[in-house]
Amino acid sequence: MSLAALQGALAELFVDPGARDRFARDPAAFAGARGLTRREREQLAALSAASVASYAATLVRKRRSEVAHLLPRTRAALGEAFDDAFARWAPHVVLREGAKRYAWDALAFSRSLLSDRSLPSGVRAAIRRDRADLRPAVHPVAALLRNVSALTRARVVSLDR
Amino acid sequence: MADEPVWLGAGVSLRRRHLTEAFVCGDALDLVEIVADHYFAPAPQKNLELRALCERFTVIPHGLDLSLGSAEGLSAGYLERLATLVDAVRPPFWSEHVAFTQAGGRRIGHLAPVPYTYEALEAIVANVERATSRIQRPVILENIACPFDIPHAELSEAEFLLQLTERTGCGLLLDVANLYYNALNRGLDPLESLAAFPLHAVVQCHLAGGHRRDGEWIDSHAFPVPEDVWSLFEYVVERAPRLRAAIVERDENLPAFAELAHEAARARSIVERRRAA
Repeated sequence: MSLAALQGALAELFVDPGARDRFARDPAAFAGARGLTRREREQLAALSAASVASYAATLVRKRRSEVAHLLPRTRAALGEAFDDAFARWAPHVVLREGAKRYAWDALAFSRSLLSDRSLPSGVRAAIRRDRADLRPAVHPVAALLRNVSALTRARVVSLDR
Repeated sequence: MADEPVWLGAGVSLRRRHLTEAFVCGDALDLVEIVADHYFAPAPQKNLELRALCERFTVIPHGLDLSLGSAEGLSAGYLERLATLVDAVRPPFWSEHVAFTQAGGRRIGHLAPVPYTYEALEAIVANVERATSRIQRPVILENIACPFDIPHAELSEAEFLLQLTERTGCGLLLDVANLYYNALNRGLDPLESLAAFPLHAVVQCHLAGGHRRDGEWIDSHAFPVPEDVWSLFEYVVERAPRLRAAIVERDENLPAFAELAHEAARARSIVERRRAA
């Protein structure tokens, strides 16, 4: 079970900025009281805080890349501000489980962007259009409504002919 | 006497933007790798897409989140979704990583390194055995890119992978770029790292290009395969008798499909040239 405890501590370091701060201040204290063997405490405490921080930044970039693919209009409208906003937002939001986790992530991030009332109307419109495209991917009812709407349009075209 | 491994060919890790071109220009590819997670419980159009891909290509499902290195064991739900996909695709093999992606109730969202200890070896062997008892197709296991190792290892990465293949009978997916960038980030000679790798167990190779950022090499899959990685691949081809496939990966800065197809063709020609010699 202690490997599980070691991996739990590593996961905490990789995703939690607060844990990384505590680790950087006092690695030995962070490694203590976690049900680890002496060897595992030494393994954990010997990790380079800089390497852990660098890896954590890589995780955020990877997650941001996935989300940016799902929010193309938002990314284009915000430019580099998209990256900065995501870097501020992501460490405080847990990635969900499942195949649609990045779609959920993109919806949650775009919702947080919309809460900023100072965004220009064009940017807000871009975010809303991305959200409208994404919702059917995670909400079955939204997918159903989109399909019914498409069928209705097809029927109208058919009748017109 | 065991059958001679059949060379399946070279291809790309397929991304949505290249889907149409893959069908139109598909003669350039022998096989495609798909991210398994993208086809779990798919919508009807994804089911059609998957069926069309399987009719056109040899398809290799590549899992990202089975967390084979996790001491907590496997997620039954993920394993079942992966098994359903592999059952549908019926590939020659499927692939996953020597890594963990979740622990202590936290999802890491990417591949994290396992400590190279005997306890971790036992954990991953048990997980591979559980996975292969459910999924009736062979699995191959990939080395990951990570800028650091967990300190105080009992084994080197190469020794860990060798024992893993011997204990489980699994082949390896050698990501040549991962090995290359890991060596550079540790101040090691990539060729020496490669020479220590259990090449006799390599069934597939990944080829990709990364970049340097803040003094660290990142396997970003954002650039063409660098010449150094091609040279390492040639070294592998000469020493990996079980090699069956080579896949070019690109996730960022997606180029025209023809550029990736050209890289796949280069991989194929290297293998065919070496095997003809």
